Amino acid sequence: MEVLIVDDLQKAFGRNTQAVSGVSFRVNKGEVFAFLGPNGAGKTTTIKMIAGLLLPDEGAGWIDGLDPHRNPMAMERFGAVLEGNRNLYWRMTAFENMRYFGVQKGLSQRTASRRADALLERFDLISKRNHQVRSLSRGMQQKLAIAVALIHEPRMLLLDEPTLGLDVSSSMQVISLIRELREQGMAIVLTTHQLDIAETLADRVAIIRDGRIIKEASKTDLILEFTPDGYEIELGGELSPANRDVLVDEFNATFEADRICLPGDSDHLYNALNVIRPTPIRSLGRAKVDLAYIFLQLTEEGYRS
Amino acid sequence: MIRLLYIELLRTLALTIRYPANFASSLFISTLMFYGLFMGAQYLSGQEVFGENLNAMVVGWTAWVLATKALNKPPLAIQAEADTGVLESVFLSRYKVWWIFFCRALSETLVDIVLIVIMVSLIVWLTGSEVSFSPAIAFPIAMLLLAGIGMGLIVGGVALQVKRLGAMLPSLQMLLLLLMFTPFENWTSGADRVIAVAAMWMPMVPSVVMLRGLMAFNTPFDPILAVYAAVNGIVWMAVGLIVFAKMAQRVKAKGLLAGY
Ligand SMILES: Nc1ncnc2c1ncn2[C@@H]1O[C@H](COP(=O)(O)OP(=O)(O)OP(=O)(O)O)[C@@H](O)[C@H]1O
Ligand SMILES: [Mg+2]
Repeated sequence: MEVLIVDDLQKAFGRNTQAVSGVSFRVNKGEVFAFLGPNGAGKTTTIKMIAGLLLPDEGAGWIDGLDPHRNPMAMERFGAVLEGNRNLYWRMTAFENMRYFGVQKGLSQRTASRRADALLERFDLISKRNHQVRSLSRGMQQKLAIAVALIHEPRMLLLDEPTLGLDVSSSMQVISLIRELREQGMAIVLTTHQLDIAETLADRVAIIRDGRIIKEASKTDLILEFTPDGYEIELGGELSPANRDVLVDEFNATFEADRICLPGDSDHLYNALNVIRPTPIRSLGRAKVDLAYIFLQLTEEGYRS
Repeated sequence: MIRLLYIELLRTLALTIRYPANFASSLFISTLMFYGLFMGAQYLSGQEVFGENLNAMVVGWTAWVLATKALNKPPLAIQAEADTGVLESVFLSRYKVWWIFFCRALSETLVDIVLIVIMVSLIVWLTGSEVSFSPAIAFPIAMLLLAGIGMGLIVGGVALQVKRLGAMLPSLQMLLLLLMFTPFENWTSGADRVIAVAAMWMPMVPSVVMLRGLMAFNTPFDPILAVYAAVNGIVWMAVGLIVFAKMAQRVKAKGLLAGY
């Protein structure tokens, strides 16, 4: 079920900066949509247009069928944590912030207070309930910002660089939170420069460059598409030079340290294994690529063309 | 909608008394300042300030302080919030931003009124003098503050676009001072009269004229002046809201929210 529909968003700043030119995508319930792209690609601009903070020149986004620029009810359907760490009131306590922004999202004072305590408990922040936000660590601030974004029980979450500036353990906490929310059916749009995070979290990936989506696919499809045919074989012993030559000449294999990269299908593999026998094999698998590799392929290709 | 006013009031209160020591000392300093003003006036005029004069002075000062705060607070707060980025979080509200900032201005003014009443009581108690006002002064003060809030919203709306507005504020305060302390009610002949009539449409002027009348000259409650004051207060507040709403819209179109 589609929670977010983005259709042909465009935004220019002044005459010379076309920040976003025609971005469209859809996000389903329980899906993490990762928005990747180099600095200045237009990720934040897109997120802000979806969140109703920036008026698009063209196009629109609908959350649950509602356009935030036309219908204030739309603001109740999503939560957002924008770039940077100052999106809460630093001189107010964790609890006061949650209650304040809860009411801003349309809750009653009482509901906001009740949910604030429940979320602080769940996010392991209850001991900081009455501490001012400025006294919290960066990781805690980020968790609190996410908690604030969830207080009105939205259907979608927009997260602009949610792990920026967090140490490893805080990042892990945020990642597992995002996973948990996804399990519960939240639609999540996030941007990040940390491709490993996108790789662990994302269901779908869009790569944006110069304001245009240059690739959008499910993560598995994307990885499959970029995965070269062939296998990687790791040996547990020395291969005789003669066999080695056979593999190179007849099987087009390449050697990388103690790994053999073998192109082709499984028949090809069986034949090659006959050549390798009886050298012990430590591991055998499909050649792997990661998101970082794909990202570089796509963005550099873009620069060349 | 009442919800929003209530949460803004809670927020203002929480921030006002966040640091009790700071809060107490700033209250104390402001009290002393007024006390100094009061003594200075006594010294300059060479006579005891009491009775009508004291009443007029207390009310004039109170009104001026409240109006200045209403004028200064929105732009300064907006600037600070745009710098940190929290302004965007506020814009994520499901309520209209002009309504949020109106509720904010109103709750800040209410808290300021309470504080100033405490200060005045302290001074009266310190000096052992007596002040007495007719309850009728509440009306022009309220209208004056409505207009003041409207002005604050206009300047606040401009602050959304022009982030470094700080330098302009002192001159705006001068203008405010001029509007509040020019005795337009005495300008009754020739060109002066034309100016005085026009001035009745300037923010706060009829309210101040009415207040002065009630306080210093003990004129009876003038219903026509009261209508002027009410219309003035409401119109300027409405202008403030409209300007603010327009500016907020412009900011969303131009992407000026995050300090670009
Ligand atoms: N309010 C604004 N006024 C003028 N130009 C802007 C504004 N906001 C963004 N831009 C420009 O639009 C382009 C896209 O910026 P955007 O912040 O969306 O990129 P991004 O993908 O989020 O980059 P990053 O990875 O650095 O966060 C950039 O060239 C930026 O300078
Ligand atoms: Mg960005």
